[in-house]
Amino acid sequence: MNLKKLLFISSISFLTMGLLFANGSSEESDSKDMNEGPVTISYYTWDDGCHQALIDEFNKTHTDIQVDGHILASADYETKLTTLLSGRADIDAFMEKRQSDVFSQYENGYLEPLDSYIEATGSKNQAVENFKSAVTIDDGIYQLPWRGGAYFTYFNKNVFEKAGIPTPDTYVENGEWTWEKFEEVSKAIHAADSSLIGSSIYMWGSQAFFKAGQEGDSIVTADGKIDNIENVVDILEMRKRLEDEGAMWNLIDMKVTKTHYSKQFYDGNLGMLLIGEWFPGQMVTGAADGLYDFDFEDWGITRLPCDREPYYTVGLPTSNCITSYSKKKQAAFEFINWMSGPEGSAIAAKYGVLPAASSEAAKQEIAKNLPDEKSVEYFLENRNNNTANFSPYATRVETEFAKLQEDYLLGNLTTDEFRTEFIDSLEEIIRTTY
Amino acid sequence: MKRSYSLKNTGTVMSFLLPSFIGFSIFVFAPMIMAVVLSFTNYSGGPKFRFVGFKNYVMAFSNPDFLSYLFVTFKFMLISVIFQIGLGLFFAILLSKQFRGCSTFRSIFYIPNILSSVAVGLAFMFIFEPSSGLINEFLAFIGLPTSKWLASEKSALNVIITIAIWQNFGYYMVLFIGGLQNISTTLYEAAEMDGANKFKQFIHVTIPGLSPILFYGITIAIIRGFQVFDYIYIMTGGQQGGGPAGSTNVLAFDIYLNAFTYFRFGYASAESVVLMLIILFVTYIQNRGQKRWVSYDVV
Repeated sequence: MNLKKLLFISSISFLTMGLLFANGSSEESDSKDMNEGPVTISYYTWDDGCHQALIDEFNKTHTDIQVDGHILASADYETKLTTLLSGRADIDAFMEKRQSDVFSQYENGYLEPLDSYIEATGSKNQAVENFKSAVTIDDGIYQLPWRGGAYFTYFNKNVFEKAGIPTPDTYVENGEWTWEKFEEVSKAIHAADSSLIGSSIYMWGSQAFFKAGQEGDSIVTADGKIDNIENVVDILEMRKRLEDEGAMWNLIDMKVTKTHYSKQFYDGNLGMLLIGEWFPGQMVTGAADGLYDFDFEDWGITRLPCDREPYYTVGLPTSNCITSYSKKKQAAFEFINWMSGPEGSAIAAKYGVLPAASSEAAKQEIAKNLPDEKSVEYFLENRNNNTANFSPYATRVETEFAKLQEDYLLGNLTTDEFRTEFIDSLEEIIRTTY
Repeated sequence: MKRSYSLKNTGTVMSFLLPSFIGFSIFVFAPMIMAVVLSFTNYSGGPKFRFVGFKNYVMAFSNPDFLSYLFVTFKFMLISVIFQIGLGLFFAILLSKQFRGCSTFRSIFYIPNILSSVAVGLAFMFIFEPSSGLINEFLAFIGLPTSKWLASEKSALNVIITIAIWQNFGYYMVLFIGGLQNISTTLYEAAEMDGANKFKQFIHVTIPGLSPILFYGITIAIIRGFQVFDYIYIMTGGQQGGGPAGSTNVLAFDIYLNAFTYFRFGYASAESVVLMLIILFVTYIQNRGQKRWVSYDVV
């Protein structure tokens, strides 16, 4: 009797443990799809409305391949993706959110090189051609960009009207839209009316690397050498001067209060916001949700301030990758290639997204989501694009910089001290990256 | 016959313990061993890694940031433990006796403890908001100077410690009320007959009678203090690196950043092992020290 009891309890224990780990074998069952009906690929991305629309449209227009979309929360997407990849979860393709993560994924052998798949299509992939340096590691292509990366100056025409100052596109037309002019205009807006804030550069560490990126500085090069940091120092000094006058949104305040850049712009008293190509989409949804009081035509887009000729903006594309262990690589490629192509870009454009490779249809769609002709012109113009801080060291560089930046803005460091500490921390990062 | 009976009993006991033991082995013991092993590697989340000896530990202890995070962790632990235990004991003594409304007061002090730290962190973020938060509005209203609170590197950690104390002291209060109610009233009567005043009764009857619960409370508070993460993450910038200027970065937060932002799992594991050893050491010292002040025979 006791032996029976023991067996019963042991069986229950093992059954419980078995149930706990039962979901580990899903890869095997999914592989049946290869032979029975359409191939279903498992695709991971985050909760952006546009992503779901792309998946839905692909599924609607394709019978041989279906996409099983796994939409994760944006806030912890990177963390979850890392955990899933290290557990070799059932992922055929995924979207890269933090671009510098690609280096670690490459080092760990998670990524499938895409050169042969692209070659098999018989033509060049325009999205890849547009952002080749951002998707190539050791001469291999590991990502297919679908969303273009570019930063712009977004401005509120009402604020400029109140301050009696020409809008930034006027300075662009005159070839005067430099960082010095940006500072001058920011101050002039606040000086005209103290309830107005001249400009905002968001709290992400990378936002201080605009000028460095335009000038072609890498901060730390891919082979572990410290590059020029003076353009980073220039922007930092400018930020402090503007914050001290109240002409720029205070970085620490926005961090502590978690005030999103869109909220800053929606409030209607911010003159200029330097942010990426995804922002028109947020203006469209903001208008639909009644999040701001001014009219849709009251804002505009123009170039980022730039001290060099020809004009350079900064920004990395958003791309898709295929896992090296996927059993449905060809199907996964078909999907991400479609997303980067004209059909995918036309759908993305409906959401105000700037595609990595634009088409005429996409341009027409984008134009519908922009406030005026001039904005369309600047948003869709052919431009040079550079990126600072894109290396295996990038994430740590950005975090270390952000910490020192706060110390500097709080007045705990002089410019020279910042310079010394930043270089020391870069050396430490290079020394301790293995 | 006797031997066989004993074996049967042992078998039954073992079979009841088996599920918990398996759970403990898989979810606690195995990860602990894995963390120790990973701390000697350059593991970054994938199959390609190698053993690097004590490199992660050397890197940690030669990094001034790591030492500063340790200092902040100790500061948080020390202040929060003193106040959580102190306030818990103070209110336990006040509320241990039955009087009209005592259950309401007990509930009021305990309720914060059942709230999610994330919700508490978010609520206090707005209360301590530097420009239009409730606290600054109130201070301005009564003519007192306002503060930057979480936006200042001088006050951010203190604000977080205060919130942690507010949320947690009720838990210790409830523990201590249970302990106080178990102390026999005859001991107080005897002490009173011997001429002991209230203070002497507290020192010579209450503290010894409560010492096992106090010992447990202090141990748990210290361990929780060392492990603090949620308040820091929610209230000072999350993945943007804590702050301001790293002033609230505790060791658990740096472990998170290294593991899930930089993918330096090897280094993060080394930091975790250091934190575990510190907690083990402090708990061991406390355990040794308890012989001097904890009495298990006062009833």
